[in-house]
Amino acid sequence: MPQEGKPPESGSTDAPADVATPIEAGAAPPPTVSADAEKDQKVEDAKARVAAAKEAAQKTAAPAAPKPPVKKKEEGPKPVDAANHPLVKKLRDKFGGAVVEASEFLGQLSICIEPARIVEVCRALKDDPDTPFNYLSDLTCVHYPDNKGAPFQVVYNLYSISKNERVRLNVDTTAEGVDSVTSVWPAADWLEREVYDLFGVVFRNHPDLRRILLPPDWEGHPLRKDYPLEFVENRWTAKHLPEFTDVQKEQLEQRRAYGLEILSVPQEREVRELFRSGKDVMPKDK
Amino acid sequence: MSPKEIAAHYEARVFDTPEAATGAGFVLTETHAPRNVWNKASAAQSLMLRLRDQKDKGEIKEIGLVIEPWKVTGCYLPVERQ
Repeated sequence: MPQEGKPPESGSTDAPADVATPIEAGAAPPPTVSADAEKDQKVEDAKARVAAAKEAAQKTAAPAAPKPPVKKKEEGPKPVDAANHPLVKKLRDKFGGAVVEASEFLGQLSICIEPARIVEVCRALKDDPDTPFNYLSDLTCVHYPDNKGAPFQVVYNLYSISKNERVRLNVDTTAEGVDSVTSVWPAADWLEREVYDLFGVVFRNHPDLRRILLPPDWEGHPLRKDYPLEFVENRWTAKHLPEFTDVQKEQLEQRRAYGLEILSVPQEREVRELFRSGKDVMPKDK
Repeated sequence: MSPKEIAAHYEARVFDTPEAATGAGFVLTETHAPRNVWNKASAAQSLMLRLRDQKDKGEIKEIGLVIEPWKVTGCYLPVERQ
């Protein structure tokens, strides 16, 4: 009997079958497939399993939803006719042909009014018991130079404080202008002066129609399309601003050549005069 | 719109240099030298609108615009006097 803990002797029958001795391998070779072929077989099986799983997943998955078409620019919101709006109906009943057209865009009501009747329409809107438009929110103008018959459109933005409603009135006119609405809303005074100053549209019956932003002897109206954006030396600047010295002219040419801000030149001149006069530009701490 | 498109809108002749315009019989008017492209377009339009008004009144025969890299100049063809 072999002692426990001792390894079995070579050639004994207790040895495991897979540990074949050279004598045993030569005597009876086991019927095994080569390792490479077995590995290839396993790889093929795995590939087949993956392909089958993919196929099953594709079958069970719902078909992909089609992408929405790209929205074209032309498909955006457009103004619609607002002839059926209650306020427009009310104005048409009262003034008839004074309401030229009405449109609504994104919930904003715009009504085009005949220029000769703007004051009475405004007064009616202000005194309207249902929606009293008692606040002139803004009064401005737009220049359409290609519209030769009426190149200016005066715009009145009205607001009803009690009803929280807004309406925009448009009046197409020439530079000869329209009647002033200062008798309806006194706040129109400075707004009309601003439009007169920047567009040159005259407001008849205005209590004090004169320029409000530019000097009284300024020529031209800067918000017209025929007025260049950039500062141009004109008769007013030649009369009122001191002449440049040769050095300053050269500096200005250099600034222009480098595309720098030429509008800052008058301000710089002011600062230079401050330094020359010996004043304290910044107050000193005591 | 670029100055060239603005000139096309107002049916104005476009020149590259003032010499080309004067060579074609045009008379030069104002020159603006703006500092950016938007102001250049604005200057071109202001020149065009003034010249167009003169053309509508019959004071001039044809309008033109000289477009150089950093400045624009208006020009017009005077009415032939007999």
